[in-house]
Amino acid sequence: MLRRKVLRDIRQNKGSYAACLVLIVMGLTVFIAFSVANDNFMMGKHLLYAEGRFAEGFAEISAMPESDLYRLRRIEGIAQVSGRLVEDVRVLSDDDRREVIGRREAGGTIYLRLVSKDPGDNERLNDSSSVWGEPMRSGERHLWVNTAFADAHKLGVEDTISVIAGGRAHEMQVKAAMLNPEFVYIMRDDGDLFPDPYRFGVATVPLKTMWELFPDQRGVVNDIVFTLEPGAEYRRVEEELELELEDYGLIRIYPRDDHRSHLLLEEESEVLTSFATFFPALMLGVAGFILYIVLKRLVQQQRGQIGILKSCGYTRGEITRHYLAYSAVLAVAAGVVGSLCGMLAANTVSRLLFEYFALPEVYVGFSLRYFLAGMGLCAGVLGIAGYQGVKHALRMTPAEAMLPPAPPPASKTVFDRVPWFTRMLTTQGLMGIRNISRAPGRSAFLLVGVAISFTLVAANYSMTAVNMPTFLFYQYTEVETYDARISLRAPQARQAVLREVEALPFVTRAEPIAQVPVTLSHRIREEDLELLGLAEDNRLYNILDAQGNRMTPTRGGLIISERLAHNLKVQRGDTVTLESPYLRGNNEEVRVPVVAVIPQYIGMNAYMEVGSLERMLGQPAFLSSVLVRGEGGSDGAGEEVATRLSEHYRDSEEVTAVDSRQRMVSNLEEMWELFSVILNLFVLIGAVFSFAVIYIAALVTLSERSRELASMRVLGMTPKEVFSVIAFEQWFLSFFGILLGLLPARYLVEGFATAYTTDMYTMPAHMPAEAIAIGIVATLISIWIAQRFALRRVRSLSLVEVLRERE
Amino acid sequence: MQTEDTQRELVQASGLKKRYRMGEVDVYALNGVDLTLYDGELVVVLGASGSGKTTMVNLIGGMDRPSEGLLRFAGRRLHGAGEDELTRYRRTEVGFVFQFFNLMPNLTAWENVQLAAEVAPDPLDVDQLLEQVGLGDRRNHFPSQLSGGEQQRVAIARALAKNPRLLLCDEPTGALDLTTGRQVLKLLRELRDQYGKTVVIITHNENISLMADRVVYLKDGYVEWVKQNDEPLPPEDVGW
Repeated sequence: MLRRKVLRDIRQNKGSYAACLVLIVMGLTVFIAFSVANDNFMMGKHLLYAEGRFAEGFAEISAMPESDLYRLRRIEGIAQVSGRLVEDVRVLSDDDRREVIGRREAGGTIYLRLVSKDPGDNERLNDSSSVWGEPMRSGERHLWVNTAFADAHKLGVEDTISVIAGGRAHEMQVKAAMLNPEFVYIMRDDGDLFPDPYRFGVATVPLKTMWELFPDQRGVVNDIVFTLEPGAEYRRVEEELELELEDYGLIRIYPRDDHRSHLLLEEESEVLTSFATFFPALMLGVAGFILYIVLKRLVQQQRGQIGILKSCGYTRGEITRHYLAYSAVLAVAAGVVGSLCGMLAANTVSRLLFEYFALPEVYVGFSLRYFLAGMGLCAGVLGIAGYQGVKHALRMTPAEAMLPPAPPPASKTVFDRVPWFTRMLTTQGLMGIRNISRAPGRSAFLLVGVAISFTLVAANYSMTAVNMPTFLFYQYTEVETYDARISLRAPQARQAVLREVEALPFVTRAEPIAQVPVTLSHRIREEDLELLGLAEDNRLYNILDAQGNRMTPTRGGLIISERLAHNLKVQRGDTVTLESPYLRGNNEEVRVPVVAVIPQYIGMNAYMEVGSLERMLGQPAFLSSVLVRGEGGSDGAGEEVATRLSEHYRDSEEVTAVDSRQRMVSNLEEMWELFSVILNLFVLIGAVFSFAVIYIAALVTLSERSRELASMRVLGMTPKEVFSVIAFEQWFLSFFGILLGLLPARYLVEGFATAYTTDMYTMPAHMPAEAIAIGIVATLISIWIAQRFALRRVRSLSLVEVLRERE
Repeated sequence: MQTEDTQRELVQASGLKKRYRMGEVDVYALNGVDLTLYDGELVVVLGASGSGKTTMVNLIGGMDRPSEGLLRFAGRRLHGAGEDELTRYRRTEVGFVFQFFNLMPNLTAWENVQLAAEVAPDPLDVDQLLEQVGLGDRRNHFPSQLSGGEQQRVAIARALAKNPRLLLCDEPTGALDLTTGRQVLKLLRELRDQYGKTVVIITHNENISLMADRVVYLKDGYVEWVKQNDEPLPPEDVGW
């Protein structure tokens, strides 16, 4: 019979139970969807890493005869070594040899990174596995392209594409689309922020074919990957390798943990895990609180019924079980619905992930583990909330339960000790203030709710309006101001190249960049990076200090990025040790002072005046890239310059890429549009959260104090005047809630920044006054709207009904 | 005491009905009440449970709207009045006293009375009222620190604070013992005498009707009889 009572009571109060149900279903859906998606993601990763024998260490060198690889295999601690030839090439169309595959945007340059593969070596590391297509045969003009590139260009088996290699165009036949553990998140270089599968892809090519494409590299490899023996120490192996590879033009060695694709994959998994924790905790917490209030109210209203049940001989345990049944019904309903929704959503989330990360698509489907976890979580939260809500009523004796409750105790509050403050208040204001200490739990809920809401809005706004745009656009609008950048395959004589480029009719200015791979060390810390040599009168690559002032590249020392300074624990005035394969003469290393530290958001570099750099290295004047400004000056003209340069150097053996800065900015703007939608969504969630908290708190207050409020209406107060008691209490708490949210907002911005910051990317962590103002305004508006809704409830309060009830 | 002919009419009810929908049937809580209340009189409304006493007082007090019939207060139409109009009416003209006091638990005695005084255009002095109801020294106590009788006295002071012309008391002694109940009735009588308010007391205790100027008896939703009491007893002589 009691079961029937439970169902009828729930039906009577269906609004509150429905709100709990929706919140729990949302929380569980997010929990299960992201947890399962993360599992799918990690399973895909493990599968690909295992099948492809993903390396644990990577070394880039200038060139090494393939036959010398055996020397590396002898190094203690190395289990397996593979040598590859890796070269970036431009892709041309079959017919007019213009870069028009897809023609998505005129003048767009498409690059492929060719990675050799020895089909005869069955134990090769970082091996590709085909998703569709045919096997690769040694010596044939075949390639396997990565799946995203194949999709972007609608390539199928037997399609041919032309690539420029060794100064000539070569026709290559697509044989398959592949996945590779080394290229899960595919970006061309450290300057890229997002994958662009249309403009950049990876292809594996038979080793012999690679040698044919690059005759000057015949018989050599320029990229080494290796695995370690169990228990071997990476640092020791790296030292040995450095010695061995020194003569082959070692550029850098790094472990798997520094491998960009791997790093981003791990970070994504962390994001998924935190998403699967934070939002469900928030939703379940709020749902638990609502249930607590609803049940507390229910047992207060059913005080007499509890007395009757007790007088009929029902035990305390039976009555407890009866009231916990409300939680149980909700837990089962929400648990089942939420878990199933989560399982369904998991596939969608996984599919989205697999669009960006080239992994084998693994879908678990129904996961009993997460189903049980979801049910358990749900039962736990609701069980605790329910018990807390009903426990007081259950302690009453039957006689006590049958009596009307004593008036709620009241006493002077902490605010009453400040008479000048209470004197300023109207009596309604005084009631509001006293209500705060009268219901400390609900006051805390409101305070924390408003704080969370403000935190979400202010922090996300800081990211949307300030930090993300700075991070994305600062480098390509403030620092780099050229129209096009010509990257060279190998360093070239500076003056000759500059003269040649400047002689082009559409070029008005050309500046050199000398890119030097270096290792900087300070005490026990060291970092591998690119040192950029810039002309003293540079105009196309600005070195900007923290205030945005231009700095001249220095002759006597290094200007380094903040991230580098942080990693090396150095500051202005310190001296660092520099090692580089470019260093000539007797010196193996040189000591260089740090003369300035500047912000840098993309990349981690050091800068120096190019002439001084060459003298320090003992090298003749050289450059690795040319920065070009062309005629005109409008954005469109900048892109035109890049297109004309690209055409001019189409068949050049030395030019590996011509990049348009404007196109980079356009691509970033495109990505930013998508990204800002997500961030704005979080701002909205913050505001909605605040609305929900205030509205729930107001409803609870209205339900608990309906008699008081009705009495005030009877006294002749208008609904607005009556509501002013609740409104004052809420505004007062909100003021402190916002103050309370300031620090977490600051931490959240820093947390976001830390999450996005790697050695390559530094996310700024500013929280401007504007973000605080927006946070306050958004929170206040949502509170105001919530109060308008609550005010409607006061208007509809039936005085006769409420006052007729027994207190 | 004035006679009915010379007294000023304060409330006029004519054919007053209140209908509630209970499931699929209409139930009349009031079924055609005709009644006039005069300025400055003390009226006791008697009737069994369900006779419509509280409903009638709710309509007269502007807490609810009649389904049918006419209702006027000092010539002002209350039937058909909107929510705002009724709020203004309650604010200026009516004071309520309830069986269960309905005080604000987190306001002191003084603050409870002040709460009503604040919204009225011409309120009475709060301190003086509290002295008058014998609670001058308990003014800073919260309801939970007061006895039932004291709480009811605060409620009466609160009802009077707005300086209304009509005081409606719904079972004001229902939750009180004999002595305290008599004290409350005495207070109501004194306040009526001093301030000249019209006081309506609803009760099912017929003895209380002995202190009234007039007695109205309700049965099944209509006025069965009205009796003029030529010699009302002082409240302290009223039996229980």
